[in-house]
Amino acid sequence: MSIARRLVLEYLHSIAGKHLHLRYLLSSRLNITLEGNMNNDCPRTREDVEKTLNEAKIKTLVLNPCTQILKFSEEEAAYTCLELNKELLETLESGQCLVIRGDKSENAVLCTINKTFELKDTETSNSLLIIKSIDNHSELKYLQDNEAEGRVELRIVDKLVHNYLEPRLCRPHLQIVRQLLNKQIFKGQENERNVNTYDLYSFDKLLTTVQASEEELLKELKDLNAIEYNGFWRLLDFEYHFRVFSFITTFIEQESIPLDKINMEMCSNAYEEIVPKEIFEQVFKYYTEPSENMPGYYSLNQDKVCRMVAESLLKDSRKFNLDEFLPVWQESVLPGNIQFPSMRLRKITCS
Amino acid sequence: MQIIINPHKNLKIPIWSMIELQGDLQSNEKAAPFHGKIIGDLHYNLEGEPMLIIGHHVLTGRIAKLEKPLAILKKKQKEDEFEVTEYEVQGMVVQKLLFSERPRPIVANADAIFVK
Repeated sequence: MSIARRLVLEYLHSIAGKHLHLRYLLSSRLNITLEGNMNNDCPRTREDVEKTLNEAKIKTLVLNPCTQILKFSEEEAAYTCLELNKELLETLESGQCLVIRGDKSENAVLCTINKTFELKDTETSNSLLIIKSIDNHSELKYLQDNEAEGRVELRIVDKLVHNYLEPRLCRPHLQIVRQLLNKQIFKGQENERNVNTYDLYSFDKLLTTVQASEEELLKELKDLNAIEYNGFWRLLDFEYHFRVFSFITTFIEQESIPLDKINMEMCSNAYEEIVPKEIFEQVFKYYTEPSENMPGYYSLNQDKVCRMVAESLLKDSRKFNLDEFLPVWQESVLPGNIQFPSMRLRKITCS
Repeated sequence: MQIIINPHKNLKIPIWSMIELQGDLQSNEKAAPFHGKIIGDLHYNLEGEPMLIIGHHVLTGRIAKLEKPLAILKKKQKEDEFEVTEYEVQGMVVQKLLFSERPRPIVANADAIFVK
């Protein structure tokens, strides 16, 4: 078969497929001649380049006089490509890290400090050649204007890739947080002796397991009403939580403290032998807000107090006739201290 | 498990280049098929359009901006197996030389053969 016929067939073959097929077999002969050459030496001379152009019937006059020879690196670099959206780019450009989280059995997620993205491995049928530097035309323009002689420069292709990671914003996978914290619920110091620290979770340990960003995880811990004790995040046993809650309300009642002028220090000191300060103060802060009128003091969040009382009443009795329940509820909530308009009632029962 | 992706040591990420070929490159070597192989000659015409000659194919292309930039990450060597896997951003691609048109074959010797 003549060379011409073979070329035509090859060309027809190449355009017949769905994608064009560059059936160019890279010459191994040239490779041999390269042995011992350092990377900076160009394997092709100006004459080689001009000979090829001549065969292709392309006039050198219509070209920029600088030619860049592309060559694969001797060793394939271990590069991975990651598509960057606005958030990811901003994170990296501000010098912060991105973190990939997940076990081998899960789909990996990529987290910034406050967002979570699922990672999809996108394949492309096209070949992508990654090159540290190629001069673009405007950079070469200078040469074109200032150099009569053509120039040949070597450019090393670092990697051939067919896929890249594509991030997509997703919800953080937070369901597991409650499960993990439920392994060892805090029931009081007297029970801590039986607790295996292996089942306890610090914030950093949670981050290695939970597929969420730091801010999303912290918010979930607050939403779950978890507290940090001795460096571990814990859920409080309901009975224990209610006991601490009762200490707070009892203290306010006994000392006849105005509801918007509560001193946390005094309150927690009163019970420091029974409840660790660290726990007491976090529960305290859950049921209060910094006082608007009195800096340094706290005011009681009355909705939260009412809800907690209702929850404890319902927990014990399971079924309650609404008409019977309402007066009991009202009496149980710091009698005489908290206003109990029907509006608040409705709001709490609905929520 | 966590894998850390560290930013580039200079906050301004170096810009790298990319060439996209609509097709595959093949090599007749099975092991390490591409290592150290020459791909071809990259020219620009006076209008700044790229042209790539691979073997007997002339490809004309264009410069295309990527919809979203692509970060190039490199895995860090671990000292021991207990260390956290880390990557580092090496560069970023924002535009590519796209060769999506049908290649033109070079038939330099054809005339000679037909004459014969």
